[in-house]
Amino acid sequence: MSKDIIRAESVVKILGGNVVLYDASVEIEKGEIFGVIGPSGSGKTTLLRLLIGFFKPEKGDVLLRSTAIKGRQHELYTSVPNNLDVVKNVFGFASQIPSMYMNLTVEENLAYFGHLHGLSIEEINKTGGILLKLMELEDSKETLAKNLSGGMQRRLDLACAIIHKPKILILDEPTADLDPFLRTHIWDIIRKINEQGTTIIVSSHILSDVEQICDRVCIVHKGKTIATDTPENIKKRFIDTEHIRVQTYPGKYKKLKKALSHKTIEEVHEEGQELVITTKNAEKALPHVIKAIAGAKESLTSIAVDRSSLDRVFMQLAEEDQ
Amino acid sequence: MSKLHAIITKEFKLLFRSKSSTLAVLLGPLILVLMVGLVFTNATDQELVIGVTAEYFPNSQEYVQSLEEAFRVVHYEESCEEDVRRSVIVSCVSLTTGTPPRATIYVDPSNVNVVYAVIDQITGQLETQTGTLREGLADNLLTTVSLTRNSIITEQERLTAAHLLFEQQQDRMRTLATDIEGIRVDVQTVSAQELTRAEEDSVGLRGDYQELLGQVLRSYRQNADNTSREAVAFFEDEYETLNDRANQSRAEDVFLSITQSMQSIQEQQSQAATSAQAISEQARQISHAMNVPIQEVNQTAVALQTAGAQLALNITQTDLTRPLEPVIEPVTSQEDDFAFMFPYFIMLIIMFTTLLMASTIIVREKNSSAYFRNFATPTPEWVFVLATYLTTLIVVAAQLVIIALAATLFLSFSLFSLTTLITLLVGITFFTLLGMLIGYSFKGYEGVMLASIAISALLLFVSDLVLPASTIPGAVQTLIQANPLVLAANLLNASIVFGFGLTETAAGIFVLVLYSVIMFALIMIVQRVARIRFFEVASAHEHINRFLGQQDIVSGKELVLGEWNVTSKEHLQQVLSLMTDDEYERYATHSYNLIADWVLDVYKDERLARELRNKSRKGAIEVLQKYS
Repeated sequence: MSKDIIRAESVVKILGGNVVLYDASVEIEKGEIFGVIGPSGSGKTTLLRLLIGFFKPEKGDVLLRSTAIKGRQHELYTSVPNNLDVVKNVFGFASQIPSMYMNLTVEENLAYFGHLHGLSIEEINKTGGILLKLMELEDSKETLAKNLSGGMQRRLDLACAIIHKPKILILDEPTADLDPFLRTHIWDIIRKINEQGTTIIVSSHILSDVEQICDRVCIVHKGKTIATDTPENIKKRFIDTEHIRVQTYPGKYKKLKKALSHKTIEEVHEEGQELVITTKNAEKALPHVIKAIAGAKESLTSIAVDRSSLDRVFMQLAEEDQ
Repeated sequence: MSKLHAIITKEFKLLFRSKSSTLAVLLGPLILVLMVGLVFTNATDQELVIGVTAEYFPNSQEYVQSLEEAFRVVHYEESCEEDVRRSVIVSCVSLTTGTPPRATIYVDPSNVNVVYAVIDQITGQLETQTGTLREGLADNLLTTVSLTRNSIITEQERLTAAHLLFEQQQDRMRTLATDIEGIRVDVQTVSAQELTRAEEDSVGLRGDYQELLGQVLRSYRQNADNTSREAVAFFEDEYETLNDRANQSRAEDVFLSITQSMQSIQEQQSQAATSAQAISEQARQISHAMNVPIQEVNQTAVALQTAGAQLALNITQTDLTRPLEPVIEPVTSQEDDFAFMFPYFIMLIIMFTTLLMASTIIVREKNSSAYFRNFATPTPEWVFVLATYLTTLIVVAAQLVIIALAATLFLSFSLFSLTTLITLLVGITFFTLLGMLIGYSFKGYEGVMLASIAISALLLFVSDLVLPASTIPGAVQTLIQANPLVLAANLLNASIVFGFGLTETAAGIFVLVLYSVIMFALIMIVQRVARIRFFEVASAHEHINRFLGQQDIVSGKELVLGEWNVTSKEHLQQVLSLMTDDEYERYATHSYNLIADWVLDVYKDERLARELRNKSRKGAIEVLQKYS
């Protein structure tokens, strides 16, 4: 039995005369952290907005498991675009631009969006207190949002997105513009939110983060969802080679290239001052590489192995695109 | 309800936490009141400086004096025309001799209204002199009329006397006729009866005479002595003689003679009666004939009396010299011009305030980063519309309370009648919804400001507030009647100045309500379109990223501006043209400029980076265009 909480079925979306999404389908399971990745303009943000109901698809449908909706369990799925009034409280949403009123304080922003989600003052106070603690904003609750730092604004934005305890939290580039330390902080918070049972759908162009945090990812490319799986499986599917990058002295690579000829090595080429060796198994190829360097009377100055990563998948897709 | 309360509370917090908004909201109406007050305060002409050159001619000094009373006059020996050009004086008046003398007024076209003030002053003086002449002539005329009237009165008195005389003579003639008639009747009555009675009396008299003589004779016979006997005998003889004579002829003759005389008299009486009848008839005819002249005399007398009475009307010199005295009675009890303008003034404030405020609130909301999140909440769109409407209504109401208190204190107006309050509510509602429609139709502040001012100007000019409706072509007059500003202002005028009730203003209020309903429907449509456009802009962002984001810099060094991943200077230029000023200010302020930093870091272009610093969004685009 499927564990999905929300699914998009062959959705097509046209915006401004452009087909932004074509035949895109995803299934997101309850309680997972689901990543949506793809090059800029591939349709990630449009897909997220379709899931939350900001857009109505030209074709296909976005279906929400009815058990996620309070008081609506008599049917299996509920169409999101056709039932916006009842599904809105299921979702929380945070985009890459913090969505709040800069001239309201932290507390006032939380209270305002809590009211708009239909919460009582007691609920707002209770949940707000928990969120301020979770987001580490307790000391800044009376500070105007515009006076918060970028990281604090992002945390407040997250707090506003989950003030009503949504079943599904959709995050569009939640760590954009943040330094590595703040990025880690935000991902920690996202993980904590997820641990409380919230399904999280996240898009990010920092693929290493996505790889680490997401249970499953979906690659959107040219308006289509070309793969949905765990990061490991995605990498296996798209990347079947590894790169060994070496720098030697005095750097007579012509001679070295000849010495590297071996069954474990697929290809050797120069990239700037580096020699890039493509292999299907770096571990097996490495001894031969070191031996060849020594045989060529070169001194090894640096060596690194590029294992398969989502970044490489991403780059590969970009190259295919060009 | 809690959602509505939350949105309104938020709007007020945002409004009052922005210094410029607070100033605009609080000081706006006060500044408007002050400005309009200054405009409606009549400046004294004494403040106007005019130059005068005057040649001598009769009354010329009086004209100059008259100008001095009204303006600050600077006297010039020669022409003052040049000083008008140099704006030293607003007008130059040159009084020159001639037939007639001439007053030439030199004026800068921008001060052409001063000409009318000067002309008014000069013609005022001329009017005074003309008036004096007119009054002299009128005095002569009135004296002549008075003398004529006195003559008429005298003649009328004479005629009245003649009339009385005629009437007396007529009465006499009537009396005469009656008397003559009476005489004729008496004579006729006397004739037969009197003669018979006279005859009988004469017979009786003869018998009495004989009886008396007989008694005397018998007495003497009884008592007479001898002497006397002789006398008695004599008497007896005489008696016998007399008696014989009486018996035989004499008495009869006398009586016959009398009878004959009586008959003669009777005949004469008959003739006299006939004559009297004729005379009486003539007297009657004369009396009747006198009626005509008496009547004419009477009519003449009445005509004279009327003429005299008319001439005796209370005609004064002023009556003659000023045949028509215009009296202007205002239909309102208020005498001040501003009082009449007050309702229009109120409606203008409402129009400007609500249009600008409602549209600004909407645009601020649309440009707010929180706009997105509002869509994600289960709050119906109409709640946001209603909240914006109520926010504007509360602010405008607060402003109106200030104005209303001022009006009550200084103008003796009351804005607190039911009709006035309903009219204000309907007017505010319409203009607020119109402002919201403008807000939803435009993206930036510049757009809504221009649209609000343009629509306000249009409503203002297609009204009778600037030009009198009578001077506007017929087709436009029809438009004026449909103009909501005019409609609302007229309703307010009717309720404030003339005290009209709901019954009289119901039709107008209904039309405004109808306008408001249409406006609300339009808002709901435009809001929906605006939301779709909002997301389409987002998709356009992606499109730009996808097609313009050429990889001309090393991957990983893109400039992330919100949802944009800027990959080149050309791309940066495109992105800046698509983002709002508020968005730009997140990345570039006086204290930091991520864009300039990026240019310096990636392109090592110090000059471009320096020029990009401290630039507005538009300025940055211009700099990038220059370097492209």
